[in-house]
Amino acid sequence: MKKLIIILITVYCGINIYAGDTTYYNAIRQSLKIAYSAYIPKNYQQLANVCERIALVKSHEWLPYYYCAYAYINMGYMEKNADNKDKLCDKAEQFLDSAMRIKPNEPENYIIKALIYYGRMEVNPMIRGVLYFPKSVNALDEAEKLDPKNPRVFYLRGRSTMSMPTFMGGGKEAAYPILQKALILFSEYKTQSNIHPNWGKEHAQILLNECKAEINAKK
Amino acid sequence: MKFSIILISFLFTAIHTIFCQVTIEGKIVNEKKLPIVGANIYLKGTYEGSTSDEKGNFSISTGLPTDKTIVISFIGYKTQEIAVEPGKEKVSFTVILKENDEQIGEVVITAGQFEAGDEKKSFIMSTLEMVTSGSSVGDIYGAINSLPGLSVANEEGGLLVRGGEQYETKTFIDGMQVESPLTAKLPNVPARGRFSPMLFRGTVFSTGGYSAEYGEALSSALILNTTAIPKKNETDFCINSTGLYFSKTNQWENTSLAAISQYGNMKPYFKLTNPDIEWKDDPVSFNQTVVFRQKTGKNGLLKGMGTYGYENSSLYYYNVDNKNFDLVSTRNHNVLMMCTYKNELGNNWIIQSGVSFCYDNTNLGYNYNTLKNRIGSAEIKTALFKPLGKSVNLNFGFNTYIKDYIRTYAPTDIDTSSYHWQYQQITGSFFVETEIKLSKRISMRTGGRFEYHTLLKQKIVSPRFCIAYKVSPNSQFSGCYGQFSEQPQDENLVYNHLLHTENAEHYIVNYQYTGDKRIFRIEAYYKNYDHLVKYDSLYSVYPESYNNTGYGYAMGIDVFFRDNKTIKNGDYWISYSLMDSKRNYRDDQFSQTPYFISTHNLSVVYKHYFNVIGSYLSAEYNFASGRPYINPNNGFKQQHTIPYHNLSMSYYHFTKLFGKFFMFYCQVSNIPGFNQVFGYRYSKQPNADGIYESVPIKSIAKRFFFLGFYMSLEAKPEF
Repeated sequence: MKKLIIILITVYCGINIYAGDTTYYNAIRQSLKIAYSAYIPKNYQQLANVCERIALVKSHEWLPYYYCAYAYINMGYMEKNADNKDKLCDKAEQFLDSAMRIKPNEPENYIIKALIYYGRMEVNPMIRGVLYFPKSVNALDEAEKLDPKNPRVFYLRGRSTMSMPTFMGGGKEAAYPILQKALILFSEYKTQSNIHPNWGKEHAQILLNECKAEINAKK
Repeated sequence: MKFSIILISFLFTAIHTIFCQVTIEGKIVNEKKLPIVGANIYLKGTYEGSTSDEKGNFSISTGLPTDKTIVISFIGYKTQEIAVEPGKEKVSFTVILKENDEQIGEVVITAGQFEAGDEKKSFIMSTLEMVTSGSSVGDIYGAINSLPGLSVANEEGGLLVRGGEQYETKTFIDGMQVESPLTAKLPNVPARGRFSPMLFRGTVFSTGGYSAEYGEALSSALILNTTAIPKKNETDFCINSTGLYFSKTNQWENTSLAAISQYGNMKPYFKLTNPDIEWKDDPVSFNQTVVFRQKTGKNGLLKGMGTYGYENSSLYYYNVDNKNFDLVSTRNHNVLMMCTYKNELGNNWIIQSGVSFCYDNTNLGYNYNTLKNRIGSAEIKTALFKPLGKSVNLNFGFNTYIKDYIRTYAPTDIDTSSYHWQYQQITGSFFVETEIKLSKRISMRTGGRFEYHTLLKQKIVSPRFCIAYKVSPNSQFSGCYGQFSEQPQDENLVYNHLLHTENAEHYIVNYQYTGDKRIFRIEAYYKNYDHLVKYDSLYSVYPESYNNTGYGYAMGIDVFFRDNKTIKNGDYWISYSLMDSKRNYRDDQFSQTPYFISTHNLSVVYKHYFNVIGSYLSAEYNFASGRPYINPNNGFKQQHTIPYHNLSMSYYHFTKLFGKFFMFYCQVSNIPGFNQVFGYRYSKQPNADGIYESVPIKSIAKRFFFLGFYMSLEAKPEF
């Protein structure tokens, strides 16, 4: 009898703990689904809020902090007002610092770092371009060093190459092979779980098509 | 057995029913009662929560125990916590979130201050622009000349701020005063900055009312900050029409070492362009700088810098009286060594300390007479900074400045003796300054400086006060009042050691609007000068000729507007100054407008970036109304020269070859070839017809051409 009670209590506790973990997993997965369904600030804010709550409880996990940073930097890109853009970048940076502290050698963190530098450049490209562009290149290089097969490194490199002047090694023609490599890596890339970062493929494909069209037009 | 299982199941179910479903709902608004969209509302310590919708409404349905707190947070607002009464099935409330003070954007005191740098939004110029702006490439002082409040006197060089002379502006590097930041000056040849702008990140240029941390400048302070540890190794090389530049930076984990060498020689340039002045020794200069940086501990930074500079030049200067040419020459050796240390000492204290040494040796020649000026100076400074609570910052420190000045005059063709004058001045000063945030919108900075000069035997107390009021998130008013003192110039002090310091009082009010890629600024000022040095120029070596009875005033309005939004890839700024100033100082017979002041000064700068080809075109137009001069042929009345116009353009082209970064640039000043007259020099006696003969003071050449080529031998330079 006693044995039975002990077993039942252990199982009950075990179920709760497991449920706790599935709640964490489900919560992130649910908000990711919403965020990926429509790229609007409202959905990113939801992702940020959910992940912020999780991060406060599970403060030893890097993923919630990562997604907070990811959500805020995406909101930053969509923001028109320069002041608010900077503030959203600040918020993203705050969360990224925590994610980097927990998992310092995670390539995805360096990718968000590059995104934040792009965001800051957008606020005032003429003055900030020279300061932040080399930093963004360094961040992507660091990510590549940690994981040479990460598709997002090449996707972002291709994206920024497209808007660089041609004499400097930029332009759509130069970006084409980089984006091609990105798409190959996207198709081969296997994430650790359903909630690990796996974004960028659709947009990379769109950009690749743009570059292809440019090359064909020149023929 | 079965009964036990049923009982246990019942127990578990019973436990579960205690955690019944509760609905928590409500509305989130701000202090203006407008809904906050996207706020995060959640049960503390759980994942359960909700996001507020377009109307600010939210609803949480939870099965968890409700003896918890609800937390509400949103970017830009102070997070709030609300305790929920347990046992209720439905809880409903409205929450008013208060704006976060720090998030509004600090109330920064902008009166009398321009900041250049790369990060903060309040910066009006980037460090790259400091290097490439203005009508003088690579000269920090030239770049600042296009800002309002500056008199553009091209024959002088340096900074003439708001009716002040060149000596009224002091340069500080990492908080330490720089004894001679400008190169030596020959008549009509502008002085240039000694330091390469590449050394600096973050510059504060004050047009008046500067912080109590700095002193010994009647008009303004140029505060330069050297770079922190660079991120990677860099090797740069530059060749241009005035010389060569080479810099190598090596960076290790926590240490970096950089060596910068510059060699300048104007001979090839003058041979090609044939200037209006005849040079005997074309200007030759050499500068070697070494910079060392070391990170100490978690937050400490030790910076060391040593520079050696040498220049030599001589020219034939027309003498109006005897219609001959005088040979005027200058040769200078300058050594500057500086070491600064910054660290955080627990409990939020920040210490910044430094020592510096300077040795400057200048030989001036006038025909065969030589004048040697030697300066040896040392400074030790410590400043401490501590935030006292959220709204008050305290900054205080002391410094001691020792200066030895020796002047030797050897009129070698008259007799073989030489004459010496010298002085030694030790100045001890202490400053205290607090920044107080009185409210969300009002910020105040108040402080004072106490100085004691051993040679002058004088105690000085200089109060400083500034206040800023934020009218809206993007605009504010600010005002400053301050008293400033400066010891008399070397050439006066060396003859009379009992002179009083020269004093100035500043009153400044300003309005600044910083919008989305647009800045507008208007500032009005009044400066009151007294105890200016006066002397009788015929008897300049006799101490009795000197006194401090000089006085003057300067007042005006400066307007600045910058816009890099309206035109795509274009950036322009307009700066206009209206200046009215009169002085009775030096050897003036009566009060008059100084020779370097123009009533109206206008600068229009336009830059355009050509993305596709990677080029940058910059055009600058300067206008100044006529400069005053005394015409002896007109009863010694003050007259004005023709107005000054200048249109210069520069072109920068960036390219990448073999993985290396190249920049090619060229600049032409005074493209239309305007006739520029800065004043007139008159003979001391009238000629046979009773007319005082004259010669116009002009630039050393009508147009300047500058061509340069910059190469970075590592792949990606960080400017």
